[in-house]
Amino acid sequence: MAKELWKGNEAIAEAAIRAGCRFFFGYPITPQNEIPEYMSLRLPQVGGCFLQAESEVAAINMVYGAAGAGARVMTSSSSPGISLKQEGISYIAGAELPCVIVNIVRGGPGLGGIQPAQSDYFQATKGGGHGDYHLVVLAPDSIQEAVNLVQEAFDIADQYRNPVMILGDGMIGQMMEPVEFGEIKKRELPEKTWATTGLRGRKEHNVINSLFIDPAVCEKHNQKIFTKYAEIEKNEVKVEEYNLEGAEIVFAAYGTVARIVKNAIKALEKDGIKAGLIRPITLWPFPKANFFKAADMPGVKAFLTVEMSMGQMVEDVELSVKGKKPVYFYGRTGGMVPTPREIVEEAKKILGGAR
Amino acid sequence: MAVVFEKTKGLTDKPTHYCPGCTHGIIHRLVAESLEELGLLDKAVGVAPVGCAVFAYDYFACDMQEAAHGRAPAVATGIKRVHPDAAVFTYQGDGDLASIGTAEIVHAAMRGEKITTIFVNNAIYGMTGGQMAPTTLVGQKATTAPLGRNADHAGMPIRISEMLATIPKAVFIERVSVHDVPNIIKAKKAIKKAFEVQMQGLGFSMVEVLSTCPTNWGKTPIEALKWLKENMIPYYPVQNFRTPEEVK
Amino acid sequence: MKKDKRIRIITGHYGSGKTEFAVNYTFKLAEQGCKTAIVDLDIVNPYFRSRQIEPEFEKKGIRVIASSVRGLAGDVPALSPEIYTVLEDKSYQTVIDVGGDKVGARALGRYHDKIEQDDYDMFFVLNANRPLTSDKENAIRYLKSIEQASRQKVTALVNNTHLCGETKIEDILKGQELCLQVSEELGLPIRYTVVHKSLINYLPDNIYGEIFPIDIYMKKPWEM
Repeated sequence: MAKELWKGNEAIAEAAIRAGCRFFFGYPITPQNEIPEYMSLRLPQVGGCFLQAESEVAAINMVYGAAGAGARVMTSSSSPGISLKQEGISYIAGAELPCVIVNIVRGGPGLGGIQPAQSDYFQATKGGGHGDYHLVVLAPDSIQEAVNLVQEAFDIADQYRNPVMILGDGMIGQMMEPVEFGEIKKRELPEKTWATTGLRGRKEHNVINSLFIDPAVCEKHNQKIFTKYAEIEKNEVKVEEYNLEGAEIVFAAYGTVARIVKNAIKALEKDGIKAGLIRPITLWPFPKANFFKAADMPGVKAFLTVEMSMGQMVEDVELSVKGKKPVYFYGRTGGMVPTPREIVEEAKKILGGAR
Repeated sequence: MAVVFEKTKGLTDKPTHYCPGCTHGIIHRLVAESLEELGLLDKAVGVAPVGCAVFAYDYFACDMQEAAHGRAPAVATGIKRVHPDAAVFTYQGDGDLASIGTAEIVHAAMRGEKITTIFVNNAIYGMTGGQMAPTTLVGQKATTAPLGRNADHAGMPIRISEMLATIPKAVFIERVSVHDVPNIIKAKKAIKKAFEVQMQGLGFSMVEVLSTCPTNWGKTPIEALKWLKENMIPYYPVQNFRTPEEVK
Repeated sequence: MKKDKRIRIITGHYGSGKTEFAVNYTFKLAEQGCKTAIVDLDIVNPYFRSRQIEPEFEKKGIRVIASSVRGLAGDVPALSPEIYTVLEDKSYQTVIDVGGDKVGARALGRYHDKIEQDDYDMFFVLNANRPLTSDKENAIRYLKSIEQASRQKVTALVNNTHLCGETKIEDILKGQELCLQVSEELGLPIRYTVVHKSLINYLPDNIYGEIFPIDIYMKKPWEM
């Protein structure tokens, strides 16, 4: 297929439809409105259902119902709306329901702004709602990658019966890029024998539930979920290593910031400084081993994490590096985007020992 | 020997946790019998609330989902949109439906979601221990209204059926009670009708069931039934608010 | 360009490259010594709007009218009352950058009584690489829906077929083919063919309309 020019949000929606998503429940919020708008146009054309809910709270609970009924279902929102969805996301994780949640992140806290940000990293990767759980969090750096990851997200969700989040900063949703829709590798997925479809001849009734009033049973349920998470950590880590060989400084960045960092790396190279990048594509599970290994590389003097936040992923980088090398942070926030020049200067300061 | 009574297939064999004299048990049976008699058990999916009926998923023998507090109509919407031929119902108390879940119930009704809501109104928070509900009567004591509900401070109790009956696509709305046998018979008729309305695809249907809570009211079961009749019915009239022509 | 009518309304499917064309067009008008104003009427997109480069416009003496909420990042429409000035004051050469699709064009509808029929051109910018406007039927459907929402008629087509940094001459020719089909069906001229400056020397001779070389102003952060 020839490449076409797609806007991030609509490409994400189209990718979901191609992955078999037939149900979408959402509520408007900038900068992700093109996702529900596109879904409202396209889903009826493929026999699906788009519904604009009365709130984000209702939307995520419609997702719960539809996922529990066995459908491939998605919702999308942006930061403040994702906060509203957290209750439902916790229930979805607790009831082990597969679904895909898209967060096109904008500046916060509170109403914040509508320009791109990465300040929902903690919320996305550490649970977000109440209780012991994780989402699988995928962070594309281009629209092409977003398209591929959205398609895979539905499979991951179904394989592990767990919600998957696509975490894109506002830039991913709003920019235009050439895209080619390809097939992704098919996974063997378990049948949804647990879904509440109505008995339809089945003997035992199915129950979708996250209530385990007996603490011993609740603990057992959490342990079961975490056995699953261990599998996910083993199987699903995605990461890009860029220019690590001979690097004096290793950057950590995800999403569109990684592309800015790559430009900074090229600029540093011109000044005779070798720099590399580790770009987590899965933010959870986090590519701990890649950082741990890079910390042992003899030439590496330091790590520099660059984010559109006040410093969130940097904590996971520190935990992964385990104190073997110093870890620094540079960030812009509230919708401001770091420039390659700022990043170059920061790296030089670190290598010159100014910090 | 001839069988003179058989438990409905719509309920599991699990003994319920409801306090003796609580009318939840009666309402469960009416819903289950209705589903069975209408031949809907095989394609029914129920949504349980947060409140005393939180374990309803263990008692109904059909497929069930447990919803977050107040969100049952949204969950039911998700289910019904995926399985339009299923008989989807929510079973919600007054805290769940009339307080935290008002947005969800109003908008499900507004969309004319083809679901059936069983709204159990006992004028108190049962599960959490007798706090004031949005439906608690003026002067009625609750743990968070120790001197009785004061209308100046807490407003007047909410009449959900009357409110929802103003919504065009809420096509079947009826308030019933289960304080004596004639009313129980009427309640079952209403519940069956509500499911018929759903299966005919006519729109949203709800039956509000006035119910007792002897434990949190501090009354014997007999006193509680009498209290319901004398205090709740004058404020919450038992009547049909809307019925579509097709099921009259 | 001076032959175009005083008010130039730039419309199209979102992502067609309207804004890039509008911005380049505005700079060129100013370079030719015109008293120029650009109206950013984009109430659809929160990012990549012409107001983003307001300082560069102002350096060249171009009047920028965007939201009455200051700053580039608002998402309330808040159309500025100043828009009336440049519609009514005929000493201004005015470019109106309209938001994408009929949703964006709707904002133009409210100025229907202020735009005189012989005083404007409305360009429909077409990018054949955009999936929803890649064939004749869909392109015409978009064009018509924009006319309906904006309550103005399109007067000419602009071929702006590109693939960001991956544009090839074939893309431009593919877009020209589509523009020709639309042109034939609707009887609208192809006024401009937009091409990035780096490709200008590779263009064949059979290009319709005036060749309009552009620079890229709406840059992504890693392109700066």
